[in-house]
Amino acid sequence: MRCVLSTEDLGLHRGNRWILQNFTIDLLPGTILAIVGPNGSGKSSLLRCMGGIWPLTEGRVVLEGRDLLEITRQQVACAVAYVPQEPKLEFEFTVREIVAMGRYAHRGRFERETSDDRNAVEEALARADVAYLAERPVTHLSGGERQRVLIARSLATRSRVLLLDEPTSSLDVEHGLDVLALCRSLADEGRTVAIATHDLNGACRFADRVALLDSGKLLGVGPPSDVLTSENLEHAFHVRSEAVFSRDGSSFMVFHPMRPQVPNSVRARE
Amino acid sequence: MDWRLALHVLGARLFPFWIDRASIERADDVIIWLIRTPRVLVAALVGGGLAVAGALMQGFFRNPLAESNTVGVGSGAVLGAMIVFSTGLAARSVIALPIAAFLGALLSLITVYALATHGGVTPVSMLLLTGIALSALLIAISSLLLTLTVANWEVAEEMIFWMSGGLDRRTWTHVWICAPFVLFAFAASLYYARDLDLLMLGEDTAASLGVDVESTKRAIIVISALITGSAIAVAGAVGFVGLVVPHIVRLFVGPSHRSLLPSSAVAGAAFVIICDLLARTIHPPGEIRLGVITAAFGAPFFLFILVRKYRELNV
Repeated sequence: MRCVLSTEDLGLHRGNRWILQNFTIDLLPGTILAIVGPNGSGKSSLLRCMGGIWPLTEGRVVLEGRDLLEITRQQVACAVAYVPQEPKLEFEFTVREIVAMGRYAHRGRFERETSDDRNAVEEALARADVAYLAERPVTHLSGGERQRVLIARSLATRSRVLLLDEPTSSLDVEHGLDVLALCRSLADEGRTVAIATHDLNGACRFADRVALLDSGKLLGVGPPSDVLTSENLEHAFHVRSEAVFSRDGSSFMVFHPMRPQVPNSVRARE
Repeated sequence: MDWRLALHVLGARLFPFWIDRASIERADDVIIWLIRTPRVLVAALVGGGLAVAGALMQGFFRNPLAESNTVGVGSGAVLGAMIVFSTGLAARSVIALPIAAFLGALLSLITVYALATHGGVTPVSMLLLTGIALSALLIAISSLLLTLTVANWEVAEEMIFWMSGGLDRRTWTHVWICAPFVLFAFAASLYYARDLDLLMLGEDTAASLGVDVESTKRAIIVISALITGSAIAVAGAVGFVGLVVPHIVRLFVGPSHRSLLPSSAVAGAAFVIICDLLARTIHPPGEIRLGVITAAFGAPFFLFILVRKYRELNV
């Protein structure tokens, strides 16, 4: 399969340490790649490098056969959408204005909004389930609503690649599943999706491939069952994992600390 | 003075071939055309310019409290003007004054940015504290220069004027000193309007949506310093216009810079023209300094926003 976006020997050095080193990974069209790993393992940095937002120290990022440095920021923005983890929304833009910003790279500075732009915005509002919030100021929304607004903005770009940094972290169970299902359907339409996440079960269920990071290095990449083995998880997260099967036969992971701990209820009785 | 007379004089000056000047008295002509008109124009340029510069800095620092006074840019521009006065450059070249004020503003803006911003984030407290400290330092240097030149009373008087800000004795020369810079910088700010919208959402987001963040930031720093410098070069340190006006305008037109910048320009011009009218007429025959009037409006407003923002963060 032809890869859409790939990193080649990527290295990122910031603040006196290597955040990512010798990192080579491909994003394949029509698939979801889940990027998992402990806090500080370099998941967010990897997404930023892939989106061309942070300059690399070493190596290169290739988008459809061309080095990201060879194409303009606007061209990158049309092809790759990025959803940050913490939205900075301090000024009272309306939801529709925020989502419409996804179209900025698609037209010149002083060009008017085309019907194509408007359609993309409406479609994005509907798909991310924020159409009913369209005229509300973003400063008045809850964390979960803001997260979905940012996802809507990334959809409005109609880019071929979507990079999402912990899109489900501030969502309730229902909306979290909605977002993952949305990513699944986008991938099924042929788009390329990469999600940094702490939700290992969600990654298993929705992602085609998983990349496991530890201290800026790639421990493994491949189908979830190959990568999220108990040895790998023990190595990266220092936890014991156990597969639990639900009635329909799907498996879920349950995690235990390496050192046996006394449950609080027992401790209270003593 | 009758408003019809004022219109007559203006008409005769602007359209000398159509409107007869013969019936206008010399005194009326001087008062309206040589004293009042340039004063109103300078007020409009200074007010519009400072309001636009305030809006730009608020977008740039992603912080609604940024303004030429609070970030020390005003003091930098005043110091630039002071140096030009005390060295006698001002007497030799008209253009030296706005250029020195621009350089002063630019240097102080870059300093505050370098000190208060880390990783693209400028905390309110850091911005204000850095601004206060830098302002204090720059004002101290200005005062020192003033003390050193006080023997030359004419120059010293001019310097005192700059430190408190005002529009008395403004002439057509002052209009021509600041108009090209303010208008050019205003046009340039419109060019960057939509990039500013995206920058307000954070640098990573702006970059991911297609903004060339570093070059845009540099351009916005230069544009806001250019406007602040040229406005302060002709009116001295007039504070708080850039804080009050964009805030009120945002309530009506929203935060998008494509409407915020032009609306702030118009509202800022109107605000300073009205403040100057008050400065001239509250206590005749004396004049109150324009900077005093804008501060009387602006400082309580600033405190109000500060308290509200503080409560928001701590709830």
